[in-house]
Amino acid sequence: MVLIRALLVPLLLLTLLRPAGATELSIFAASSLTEALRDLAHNYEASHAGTRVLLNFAGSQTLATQIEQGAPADLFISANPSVMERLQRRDLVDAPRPLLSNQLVLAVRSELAQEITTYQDIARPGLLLVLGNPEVPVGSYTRQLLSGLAADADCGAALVKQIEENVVSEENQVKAILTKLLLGEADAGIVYRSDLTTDASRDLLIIPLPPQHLPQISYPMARIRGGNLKTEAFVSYLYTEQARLVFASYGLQQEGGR
Amino acid sequence: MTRPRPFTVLLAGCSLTLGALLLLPILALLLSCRPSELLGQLNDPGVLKALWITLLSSLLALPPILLLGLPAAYGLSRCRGRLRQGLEILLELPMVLPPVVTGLALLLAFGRRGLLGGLLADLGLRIPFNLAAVVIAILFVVTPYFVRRSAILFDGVDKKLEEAALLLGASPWQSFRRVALPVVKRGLFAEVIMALAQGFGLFGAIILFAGNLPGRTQTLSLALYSAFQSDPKQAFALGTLLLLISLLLLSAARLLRPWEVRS
Repeated sequence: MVLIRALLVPLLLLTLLRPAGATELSIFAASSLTEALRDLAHNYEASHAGTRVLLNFAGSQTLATQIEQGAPADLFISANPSVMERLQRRDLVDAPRPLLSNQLVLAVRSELAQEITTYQDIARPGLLLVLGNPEVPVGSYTRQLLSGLAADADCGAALVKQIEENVVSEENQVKAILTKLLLGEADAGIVYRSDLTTDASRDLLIIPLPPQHLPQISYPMARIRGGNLKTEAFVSYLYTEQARLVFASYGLQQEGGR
Repeated sequence: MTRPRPFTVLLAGCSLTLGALLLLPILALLLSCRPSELLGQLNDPGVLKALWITLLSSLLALPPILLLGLPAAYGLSRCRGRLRQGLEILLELPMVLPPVVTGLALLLAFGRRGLLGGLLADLGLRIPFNLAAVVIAILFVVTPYFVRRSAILFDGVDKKLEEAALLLGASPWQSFRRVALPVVKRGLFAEVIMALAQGFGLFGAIILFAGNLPGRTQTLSLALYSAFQSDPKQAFALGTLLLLISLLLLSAARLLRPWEVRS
Protein backbone atom coordinates (compact mmCIF):
# COMPACT_ATOMS: atom_id res chain seq x y z
CA MET A 1 0.00 0.00 0.00
CA VAL A 2 2.82 2.36 0.95
CA LEU A 3 4.52 1.50 -2.30
CA ILE A 4 1.42 2.26 -4.36
CA ARG A 5 1.06 5.60 -2.58
CA ALA A 6 4.72 6.34 -3.19
CA LEU A 7 4.23 5.66 -6.87
CA LEU A 8 1.10 7.79 -7.04
CA VAL A 9 2.84 10.93 -5.81
CA PRO A 10 5.08 11.47 -8.86
CA LEU A 11 2.15 10.65 -11.15
CA LEU A 12 0.05 13.27 -9.43
CA LEU A 13 2.89 15.78 -9.73
CA LEU A 14 3.15 15.06 -13.44
CA THR A 15 -0.51 15.88 -14.00
CA LEU A 16 -0.11 19.05 -11.96
CA LEU A 17 2.49 20.30 -14.41
CA ARG A 18 -0.28 20.92 -16.93
CA PRO A 19 -2.07 24.16 -16.20
CA ALA A 20 -5.72 23.39 -15.63
CA GLY A 21 -8.04 24.40 -18.45
CA ALA A 22 -5.23 25.31 -20.86
CA THR A 23 -5.48 24.21 -24.47
CA GLU A 24 -2.35 22.54 -25.74
CA LEU A 25 -1.73 22.34 -29.46
CA SER A 26 0.95 19.93 -30.48
CA ILE A 27 2.59 20.91 -33.76
CA PHE A 28 5.00 18.54 -35.51
CA ALA A 29 7.03 20.46 -38.07
CA ALA A 30 10.02 19.93 -40.34
CA SER A 31 13.21 21.21 -38.74
CA SER A 32 13.73 23.81 -41.49
CA LEU A 33 10.76 25.70 -39.98
CA THR A 34 12.27 25.89 -36.48
CA GLU A 35 12.92 29.65 -36.22
CA ALA A 36 9.83 30.85 -38.06
CA LEU A 37 7.38 28.66 -36.16
CA ARG A 38 8.95 29.48 -32.80
CA ASP A 39 8.27 33.17 -33.49
CA LEU A 40 4.76 32.51 -34.72
CA ALA A 41 3.89 30.24 -31.81
CA HIS A 42 5.16 32.89 -29.43
CA ASN A 43 3.00 35.57 -31.09
CA TYR A 44 0.00 33.26 -31.13
CA GLU A 45 0.30 32.40 -27.44
CA ALA A 46 0.56 36.11 -26.62
CA SER A 47 -2.69 36.87 -28.42
CA HIS A 48 -4.55 33.70 -27.34
CA ALA A 49 -4.41 33.44 -23.56
CA GLY A 50 -4.85 29.91 -22.30
CA THR A 51 -3.43 28.29 -25.42
CA ARG A 52 -0.03 26.67 -25.42
CA VAL A 53 1.64 25.72 -28.67
CA LEU A 54 4.01 22.79 -28.22
CA LEU A 55 6.47 22.47 -31.07
CA ASN A 56 8.27 19.30 -32.04
CA PHE A 57 10.91 19.76 -34.73
CA ALA A 58 12.69 16.93 -36.52
CA GLY A 59 13.21 15.58 -40.02
CA SER A 60 9.87 15.07 -41.78
CA GLN A 61 10.39 11.31 -41.98
CA THR A 62 11.10 11.06 -38.27
CA LEU A 63 7.95 13.03 -37.48
CA ALA A 64 5.84 10.89 -39.82
CA THR A 65 7.09 7.73 -38.13
CA GLN A 66 6.35 9.24 -34.72
CA ILE A 67 2.81 10.04 -35.87
CA GLU A 68 2.40 6.53 -37.26
CA GLN A 69 3.45 5.16 -33.89
CA GLY A 70 0.78 7.22 -32.20
CA ALA A 71 2.67 10.29 -30.98
CA PRO A 72 0.18 12.93 -29.79
CA ALA A 73 0.22 15.46 -32.64
CA ASP A 74 -2.52 17.85 -33.74
CA LEU A 75 -0.91 19.35 -36.81
CA PHE A 76 1.86 18.17 -39.12
CA ILE A 77 3.87 20.41 -41.44
CA SER A 78 6.12 18.36 -43.69
CA ALA A 79 9.03 19.51 -45.83
CA ASN A 80 8.19 16.77 -48.25
CA PRO A 81 4.86 15.99 -49.97
CA SER A 82 5.63 12.28 -50.32
CA VAL A 83 5.83 11.83 -46.55
CA MET A 84 2.49 13.57 -46.21
CA GLU A 85 1.03 11.25 -48.85
CA ARG A 86 2.24 8.28 -46.84
CA LEU A 87 0.25 9.48 -43.81
CA GLN A 88 -2.73 10.26 -46.05
CA ARG A 89 -2.77 6.72 -47.45
CA ARG A 90 -2.89 5.42 -43.89
CA ASP A 91 -5.79 7.72 -43.14
CA LEU A 92 -3.88 9.38 -40.33
CA VAL A 93 -4.33 12.97 -41.56
CA ASP A 94 -7.05 15.15 -43.07
CA ALA A 95 -6.61 16.54 -46.59
CA PRO A 96 -3.27 18.40 -46.74
CA ARG A 97 -3.03 21.97 -48.03
CA PRO A 98 0.07 23.82 -49.19
CA LEU A 99 1.47 26.21 -46.57
CA LEU A 100 4.90 27.31 -47.70
CA SER A 101 7.50 27.10 -50.41
CA ASN A 102 11.24 27.16 -50.01
CA GLN A 103 14.34 27.08 -52.22
CA LEU A 104 17.68 25.31 -52.30
CA VAL A 105 20.77 27.49 -51.92
CA LEU A 106 24.47 26.83 -52.06
CA ALA A 107 26.13 28.09 -48.88
CA VAL A 108 29.88 28.58 -48.75
CA ARG A 109 32.27 29.59 -45.95
CA SER A 110 32.98 33.30 -46.37
CA GLU A 111 36.77 32.87 -46.34
CA LEU A 112 36.39 31.04 -49.68
CA ALA A 113 34.90 34.13 -51.34
CA GLN A 114 37.90 34.41 -53.67
CA GLU A 115 37.96 30.77 -54.71
CA ILE A 116 34.26 30.12 -55.14
CA THR A 117 32.33 32.61 -57.20
CA THR A 118 30.02 30.34 -59.21
CA TYR A 119 28.33 27.08 -58.31
CA GLN A 120 30.66 25.25 -60.75
CA ASP A 121 33.58 26.08 -58.41
CA ILE A 122 32.42 23.52 -55.85
CA ALA A 123 33.82 20.88 -58.20
CA ARG A 124 37.36 22.03 -57.27
CA PRO A 125 39.34 19.04 -56.01
CA GLY A 126 39.74 18.86 -52.25
CA LEU A 127 36.73 21.00 -51.39
CA LEU A 128 34.72 19.59 -48.49
CA LEU A 129 31.08 19.45 -49.50
CA VAL A 130 28.26 18.32 -47.23
CA LEU A 131 24.87 17.39 -48.67
CA GLY A 132 21.66 15.88 -47.38
CA ASN A 133 21.20 12.12 -47.36
CA PRO A 134 19.23 11.19 -50.55
CA GLU A 135 16.59 9.63 -48.26
CA VAL A 136 15.67 12.96 -46.64
CA PRO A 137 13.90 15.83 -48.47
CA VAL A 138 16.84 18.23 -48.69
CA GLY A 139 19.02 15.43 -50.04
CA SER A 140 16.51 14.21 -52.60
CA TYR A 141 15.91 17.80 -53.84
CA THR A 142 19.69 18.19 -54.09
CA ARG A 143 19.92 15.02 -56.20
CA GLN A 144 17.19 16.42 -58.48
CA LEU A 145 19.19 19.61 -58.83
CA LEU A 146 22.39 17.69 -59.60
CA SER A 147 20.75 15.55 -62.25
CA GLY A 148 19.36 18.74 -63.82
CA LEU A 149 22.86 20.24 -63.79
CA ALA A 150 24.33 17.08 -65.33
CA ALA A 151 22.04 17.53 -68.34
CA ASP A 152 22.89 21.25 -68.63
CA ALA A 153 25.53 22.40 -71.13
CA ASP A 154 26.78 25.00 -68.58
CA CYS A 155 27.71 22.26 -66.16
CA GLY A 156 27.64 18.72 -67.55
CA ALA A 157 27.88 15.20 -66.19
CA ALA A 158 31.66 15.25 -65.75
CA LEU A 159 31.55 18.32 -63.52
CA VAL A 160 28.64 16.89 -61.48
CA LYS A 161 30.70 13.74 -60.97
CA GLN A 162 33.55 15.86 -59.61
CA ILE A 163 31.11 17.69 -57.35
CA GLU A 164 29.84 14.35 -56.03
CA GLU A 165 33.40 13.24 -55.34
CA ASN A 166 33.79 16.21 -53.00
CA VAL A 167 30.93 15.03 -50.78
CA VAL A 168 32.39 14.15 -47.37
CA SER A 169 29.16 13.56 -45.49
CA GLU A 170 25.47 12.97 -46.16
CA GLU A 171 23.52 14.38 -43.24
CA ASN A 172 20.08 13.27 -42.17
CA GLN A 173 18.97 16.74 -41.17
CA VAL A 174 19.43 20.04 -42.92
CA LYS A 175 20.50 21.61 -39.60
CA ALA A 176 23.34 19.10 -39.40
CA ILE A 177 24.67 20.34 -42.76
CA LEU A 178 24.60 23.86 -41.37
CA THR A 179 26.36 22.80 -38.16
CA LYS A 180 29.26 21.34 -40.13
CA LEU A 181 29.50 24.58 -42.13
CA LEU A 182 29.29 26.87 -39.10
CA LEU A 183 31.91 24.83 -37.23
CA GLY A 184 34.15 25.32 -40.24
CA GLU A 185 34.59 21.58 -40.81
CA ALA A 186 32.95 21.77 -44.24
CA ASP A 187 33.57 24.32 -47.01
CA ALA A 188 30.23 24.25 -48.77
CA GLY A 189 26.79 22.74 -48.44
CA ILE A 190 23.40 22.79 -50.11
CA VAL A 191 20.64 23.82 -47.72
CA TYR A 192 17.31 25.66 -47.79
CA ARG A 193 17.20 29.43 -48.16
CA SER A 194 15.31 29.50 -44.85
CA ASP A 195 18.28 27.99 -43.03
CA LEU A 196 20.49 31.00 -43.70
CA THR A 197 18.49 33.58 -41.78
CA THR A 198 19.94 33.05 -38.30
CA ASP A 199 22.63 35.33 -36.93
CA ALA A 200 25.12 32.48 -36.87
CA SER A 201 24.82 31.97 -40.62
CA ARG A 202 25.70 35.60 -41.45
CA ASP A 203 29.26 34.61 -42.28
CA LEU A 204 28.20 32.15 -44.94
CA LEU A 205 28.06 33.24 -48.56
CA ILE A 206 25.13 32.38 -50.77
CA ILE A 207 26.11 31.38 -54.31
CA PRO A 208 23.27 31.52 -56.84
CA LEU A 209 22.10 28.25 -58.36
CA PRO A 210 20.54 28.18 -61.85
CA PRO A 211 16.83 28.81 -61.20
CA GLN A 212 15.64 26.58 -64.04
CA HIS A 213 17.07 23.54 -62.22
CA LEU A 214 15.79 24.39 -58.75
CA PRO A 215 13.20 21.82 -57.73
CA GLN A 216 9.77 22.92 -56.50
CA ILE A 217 9.87 22.70 -52.73
CA SER A 218 6.54 22.93 -51.03
CA TYR A 219 5.52 22.33 -47.44
CA PRO A 220 2.14 20.67 -47.08
CA MET A 221 0.27 20.95 -43.81
CA ALA A 222 -2.46 18.67 -42.48
CA ARG A 223 -4.46 18.18 -39.31
CA ILE A 224 -4.00 14.83 -37.62
CA ARG A 225 -7.17 12.74 -37.46
CA GLY A 226 -8.58 12.89 -33.97
CA GLY A 227 -6.37 15.85 -33.04
CA ASN A 228 -7.50 18.94 -31.16
CA LEU A 229 -10.16 20.84 -33.16
CA LYS A 230 -8.85 24.16 -31.84
CA THR A 231 -5.90 23.63 -34.19
CA GLU A 232 -8.05 25.18 -36.92
CA ALA A 233 -7.65 28.65 -35.40
CA PHE A 234 -3.87 28.26 -35.41
CA VAL A 235 -4.01 27.04 -39.02
CA SER A 236 -5.95 30.18 -40.01
CA TYR A 237 -3.35 32.27 -38.20
CA LEU A 238 -0.59 30.71 -40.31
CA TYR A 239 -2.30 32.08 -43.45
CA THR A 240 -2.59 35.68 -42.16
CA GLU A 241 -0.59 38.62 -43.47
CA GLN A 242 1.21 38.84 -40.12
CA ALA A 243 2.35 35.22 -40.51
CA ARG A 244 3.36 35.86 -44.11
CA LEU A 245 5.76 38.57 -42.97
CA VAL A 246 7.29 36.35 -40.30
CA PHE A 247 7.72 33.50 -42.78
CA ALA A 248 9.23 35.90 -45.32
CA SER A 249 11.76 37.17 -42.77
CA TYR A 250 12.96 33.58 -42.50
CA GLY A 251 13.21 33.07 -46.24
CA LEU A 252 9.96 31.13 -46.58
CA GLN A 253 7.19 32.02 -48.98
CA GLN A 254 3.62 31.62 -47.81
CA GLU A 255 1.41 29.81 -50.30
CA GLY A 256 -2.03 31.23 -50.95
CA GLY A 257 -4.28 28.16 -51.19
CA ARG A 258 -6.73 27.51 -48.39
CA MET B 1 3.67 -24.02 3.94
CA THR B 2 5.14 -20.66 4.84
CA ARG B 3 3.78 -17.47 3.37
CA PRO B 4 6.45 -15.48 1.47
CA ARG B 5 7.59 -12.53 3.44
CA PRO B 6 6.46 -9.05 2.22
CA PHE B 7 10.04 -8.04 1.57
CA THR B 8 10.54 -11.03 -0.72
CA VAL B 9 7.34 -10.14 -2.57
CA LEU B 10 8.59 -6.57 -2.97
CA LEU B 11 11.92 -7.77 -4.37
CA ALA B 12 10.21 -10.12 -6.82
CA GLY B 13 7.69 -7.46 -7.88
CA CYS B 14 10.33 -4.82 -8.56
CA SER B 15 12.56 -7.27 -10.43
CA LEU B 16 9.68 -8.47 -12.61
CA THR B 17 8.67 -4.89 -13.46
CA LEU B 18 12.25 -4.01 -14.34
CA GLY B 19 12.56 -7.22 -16.38
CA ALA B 20 9.45 -6.35 -18.36
CA LEU B 21 10.69 -2.80 -18.91
CA LEU B 22 13.98 -4.12 -20.34
CA LEU B 23 12.63 -7.07 -22.29
CA LEU B 24 9.51 -5.58 -23.86
CA PRO B 25 11.28 -3.12 -26.21
CA ILE B 26 13.82 -5.81 -27.18
CA LEU B 27 11.02 -8.27 -27.86
CA ALA B 28 9.15 -5.65 -29.90
CA LEU B 29 12.26 -5.10 -32.01
CA LEU B 30 12.75 -8.83 -32.58
CA LEU B 31 9.09 -9.20 -33.58
CA SER B 32 9.25 -6.23 -35.96
CA CYS B 33 10.87 -8.15 -38.78
CA ARG B 34 10.81 -11.65 -40.20
CA PRO B 35 14.01 -13.74 -40.34
CA SER B 36 13.83 -13.61 -44.15
CA GLU B 37 13.92 -9.80 -44.04
CA LEU B 38 16.90 -10.00 -41.71
CA LEU B 39 18.78 -12.29 -44.10
CA GLY B 40 17.77 -10.06 -47.00
CA GLN B 41 19.66 -7.20 -45.31
CA LEU B 42 22.86 -9.22 -45.54
CA ASN B 43 22.52 -9.22 -49.34
CA ASP B 44 22.23 -5.45 -49.46
CA PRO B 45 25.59 -3.99 -50.58
CA GLY B 46 24.93 -0.82 -48.56
CA VAL B 47 24.41 -2.83 -45.38
CA LEU B 48 27.50 -4.94 -46.03
CA LYS B 49 29.54 -1.79 -46.51
CA ALA B 50 28.27 -0.40 -43.20
CA LEU B 51 28.95 -3.71 -41.48
CA TRP B 52 32.50 -3.66 -42.83
CA ILE B 53 33.11 -0.09 -41.63
CA THR B 54 31.70 -1.04 -38.22
CA LEU B 55 33.99 -4.07 -37.91
CA LEU B 56 37.03 -2.30 -39.32
CA SER B 57 36.76 0.74 -37.06
CA SER B 58 36.17 -1.32 -33.92
CA LEU B 59 39.06 -3.64 -34.74
CA LEU B 60 41.37 -0.71 -35.55
CA ALA B 61 40.46 0.83 -32.21
CA LEU B 62 41.41 -2.30 -30.27
CA PRO B 63 45.25 -2.05 -30.39
CA PRO B 64 45.33 1.53 -29.05
CA ILE B 65 42.67 0.66 -26.44
CA LEU B 66 44.91 -2.18 -25.20
CA LEU B 67 48.17 -0.29 -25.58
CA LEU B 68 46.94 2.74 -23.64
CA GLY B 69 44.27 1.13 -21.53
CA LEU B 70 46.09 -1.84 -20.10
CA PRO B 71 48.98 0.08 -18.47
CA ALA B 72 46.50 2.73 -17.32
CA ALA B 73 44.30 0.07 -15.73
CA TYR B 74 47.28 -1.60 -14.01
CA GLY B 75 48.48 1.78 -12.78
CA LEU B 76 45.01 2.72 -11.58
CA SER B 77 44.69 -0.48 -9.59
CA ARG B 78 47.89 0.41 -7.67
CA CYS B 79 46.59 3.88 -6.82
CA ARG B 80 44.75 4.42 -3.57
CA GLY B 81 42.75 7.15 -1.87
CA ARG B 82 42.26 10.65 -3.31
CA LEU B 83 44.45 10.06 -6.33
CA ARG B 84 42.42 7.05 -7.40
CA GLN B 85 39.16 8.89 -6.85
CA GLY B 86 40.36 11.80 -8.96
CA LEU B 87 41.51 9.54 -11.76
CA GLU B 88 38.24 7.63 -11.69
CA ILE B 89 36.23 10.84 -12.00
CA LEU B 90 38.32 11.74 -15.04
CA LEU B 91 37.52 8.33 -16.53
CA GLU B 92 33.83 8.65 -15.75
CA LEU B 93 33.54 11.98 -17.54
CA PRO B 94 33.48 10.60 -21.11
CA MET B 95 31.01 7.94 -19.94
CA VAL B 96 28.39 10.42 -18.81
CA LEU B 97 28.82 13.03 -21.57
CA PRO B 98 25.85 13.10 -23.96
CA PRO B 99 27.04 11.63 -27.29
CA VAL B 100 26.36 14.92 -29.11
CA VAL B 101 28.62 16.77 -26.68
CA THR B 102 31.29 14.12 -27.18
CA GLY B 103 31.09 14.61 -30.96
CA LEU B 104 31.29 18.39 -30.66
CA ALA B 105 34.15 18.22 -28.17
CA LEU B 106 36.08 15.94 -30.51
CA LEU B 107 35.49 18.40 -33.37
CA LEU B 108 36.68 21.27 -31.17
CA ALA B 109 39.85 19.32 -30.41
CA PHE B 110 40.71 17.56 -33.68
CA GLY B 111 38.61 19.49 -36.23
CA ARG B 112 39.96 21.88 -38.82
CA ARG B 113 39.37 24.82 -36.52
CA GLY B 114 40.02 22.78 -33.39
CA LEU B 115 42.81 23.07 -30.84
CA LEU B 116 45.04 20.68 -32.76
CA GLY B 117 43.61 21.70 -36.15
CA GLY B 118 46.58 23.81 -37.25
CA LEU B 119 49.10 21.20 -36.17
CA LEU B 120 47.23 18.40 -37.95
CA ALA B 121 46.85 20.52 -41.10
CA ASP B 122 50.62 21.15 -41.13
CA LEU B 123 51.10 17.40 -41.07
CA GLY B 124 48.63 17.12 -43.96
CA LEU B 125 46.10 15.24 -41.82
CA ARG B 126 42.36 15.75 -41.91
CA ILE B 127 40.62 13.77 -39.19
CA PRO B 128 36.88 14.62 -39.50
CA PHE B 129 34.98 12.80 -42.26
CA ASN B 130 37.55 10.00 -42.22
CA LEU B 131 37.72 6.52 -40.75
CA ALA B 132 40.30 7.94 -38.33
CA ALA B 133 37.52 10.04 -36.80
CA VAL B 134 35.38 6.93 -36.26
CA VAL B 135 38.30 5.20 -34.56
CA ILE B 136 39.09 8.23 -32.36
CA ALA B 137 35.42 8.51 -31.34
CA ILE B 138 35.43 4.83 -30.33
CA LEU B 139 38.71 5.32 -28.44
CA PHE B 140 37.35 8.32 -26.56
CA VAL B 141 34.14 6.63 -25.48
CA VAL B 142 35.24 3.02 -24.99
CA THR B 143 38.72 3.28 -23.43
CA PRO B 144 37.51 4.77 -20.11
CA TYR B 145 35.10 1.85 -19.64
CA PHE B 146 37.86 -0.57 -20.51
CA VAL B 147 40.27 1.01 -18.01
CA ARG B 148 37.69 1.17 -15.20
CA ARG B 149 36.66 -2.44 -15.62
CA SER B 150 40.18 -3.79 -16.17
CA ALA B 151 41.42 -1.96 -13.09
CA ILE B 152 38.84 -3.91 -11.09
CA LEU B 153 40.26 -7.11 -12.56
CA PHE B 154 43.77 -6.11 -11.46
CA ASP B 155 42.39 -5.21 -8.01
CA GLY B 156 41.42 -8.86 -7.69
CA VAL B 157 44.99 -10.10 -8.13
CA ASP B 158 46.38 -11.27 -4.80
CA LYS B 159 49.01 -8.70 -3.80
CA LYS B 160 50.98 -11.41 -1.98
CA LEU B 161 51.64 -13.15 -5.29
CA GLU B 162 53.21 -10.05 -6.77
CA GLU B 163 55.14 -9.29 -3.58
CA ALA B 164 56.50 -12.81 -3.61
CA ALA B 165 57.59 -12.40 -7.24
CA LEU B 166 59.37 -9.13 -6.39
CA LEU B 167 61.08 -10.75 -3.36
CA LEU B 168 62.28 -13.54 -5.60
CA GLY B 169 64.03 -10.94 -7.74
CA ALA B 170 61.51 -10.27 -10.50
CA SER B 171 61.37 -6.75 -11.93
CA PRO B 172 58.05 -4.86 -11.72
CA TRP B 173 57.58 -5.51 -15.47
CA GLN B 174 58.16 -9.23 -14.94
CA SER B 175 55.73 -9.32 -12.04
CA PHE B 176 53.13 -7.58 -14.23
CA ARG B 177 53.83 -9.76 -17.26
CA ARG B 178 54.27 -13.12 -15.47
CA VAL B 179 52.02 -12.82 -12.42
CA ALA B 180 49.25 -10.22 -12.78
CA LEU B 181 48.52 -10.62 -16.50
CA PRO B 182 48.02 -14.40 -16.50
CA VAL B 183 45.64 -14.12 -13.54
CA VAL B 184 43.38 -11.59 -15.29
CA LYS B 185 43.79 -13.01 -18.81
CA ARG B 186 40.29 -14.44 -19.16
CA GLY B 187 38.68 -11.36 -17.70
CA LEU B 188 40.68 -9.17 -20.08
CA PHE B 189 39.48 -11.16 -23.09
CA ALA B 190 35.94 -10.54 -21.91
CA GLU B 191 36.66 -6.80 -21.59
CA VAL B 192 38.10 -6.72 -25.10
CA ILE B 193 34.87 -8.22 -26.43
CA MET B 194 32.86 -5.71 -24.40
CA ALA B 195 34.93 -2.92 -25.97
CA LEU B 196 34.14 -4.29 -29.43
CA ALA B 197 30.43 -4.46 -28.65
CA GLN B 198 30.43 -0.89 -27.33
CA GLY B 199 32.19 0.37 -30.44
CA PHE B 200 29.60 -1.32 -32.66
CA GLY B 201 26.74 0.59 -31.10
CA LEU B 202 28.28 4.07 -31.06
CA PHE B 203 26.21 6.69 -32.85
CA GLY B 204 26.02 10.32 -31.74
CA ALA B 205 29.73 10.98 -31.44
CA ILE B 206 30.43 9.41 -34.83
CA ILE B 207 27.72 11.19 -36.82
CA LEU B 208 28.94 14.55 -35.53
CA PHE B 209 32.67 14.00 -35.61
CA ALA B 210 33.07 11.65 -38.58
CA GLY B 211 30.02 12.51 -40.65
CA ASN B 212 27.83 10.05 -42.47
CA LEU B 213 29.20 8.82 -45.78
CA PRO B 214 28.40 5.28 -46.97
CA GLY B 215 31.57 3.28 -47.49
CA ARG B 216 33.76 5.71 -45.59
CA THR B 217 32.40 6.64 -42.18
CA GLN B 218 28.91 5.15 -42.14
CA THR B 219 28.78 2.44 -39.47
CA LEU B 220 25.83 0.12 -38.96
CA SER B 221 24.15 2.40 -36.42
CA LEU B 222 24.48 5.38 -38.79
CA ALA B 223 23.14 3.32 -41.71
CA LEU B 224 20.24 2.35 -39.47
CA TYR B 225 19.43 6.00 -38.79
CA SER B 226 19.69 6.90 -42.48
CA ALA B 227 17.48 3.96 -43.46
CA PHE B 228 14.92 5.08 -40.90
CA GLN B 229 14.58 8.36 -42.83
CA SER B 230 12.94 6.59 -45.76
CA ASP B 231 12.26 2.99 -44.86
CA PRO B 232 11.47 2.33 -41.19
CA LYS B 233 11.09 -1.39 -41.98
CA GLN B 234 14.71 -1.61 -43.06
CA ALA B 235 15.73 0.31 -39.96
CA PHE B 236 13.93 -2.28 -37.80
CA ALA B 237 15.74 -5.11 -39.60
CA LEU B 238 19.10 -3.37 -39.15
CA GLY B 239 18.25 -2.74 -35.51
CA THR B 240 17.56 -6.43 -35.02
CA LEU B 241 20.82 -7.28 -36.74
CA LEU B 242 22.73 -4.95 -34.42
CA LEU B 243 20.88 -6.39 -31.42
CA LEU B 244 21.77 -9.96 -32.39
CA ILE B 245 25.43 -9.06 -32.91
CA SER B 246 25.54 -7.37 -29.50
CA LEU B 247 23.81 -10.34 -27.88
CA LEU B 248 26.37 -12.69 -29.41
CA LEU B 249 29.30 -10.57 -28.25
CA LEU B 250 27.91 -10.09 -24.75
CA SER B 251 27.31 -13.83 -24.36
CA ALA B 252 30.87 -14.49 -25.51
CA ALA B 253 32.15 -11.96 -22.97
CA ARG B 254 30.10 -13.67 -20.22
CA LEU B 255 31.41 -17.12 -21.09
CA LEU B 256 35.00 -15.91 -21.00
CA ARG B 257 34.69 -14.05 -17.73
CA PRO B 258 36.13 -15.97 -14.75
CA TRP B 259 33.58 -17.24 -12.25
CA GLU B 260 34.58 -15.01 -9.34
CA VAL B 261 33.85 -11.89 -11.36
CA ARG B 262 30.87 -13.36 -13.17
CA SER B 263 28.75 -13.90 -10.09
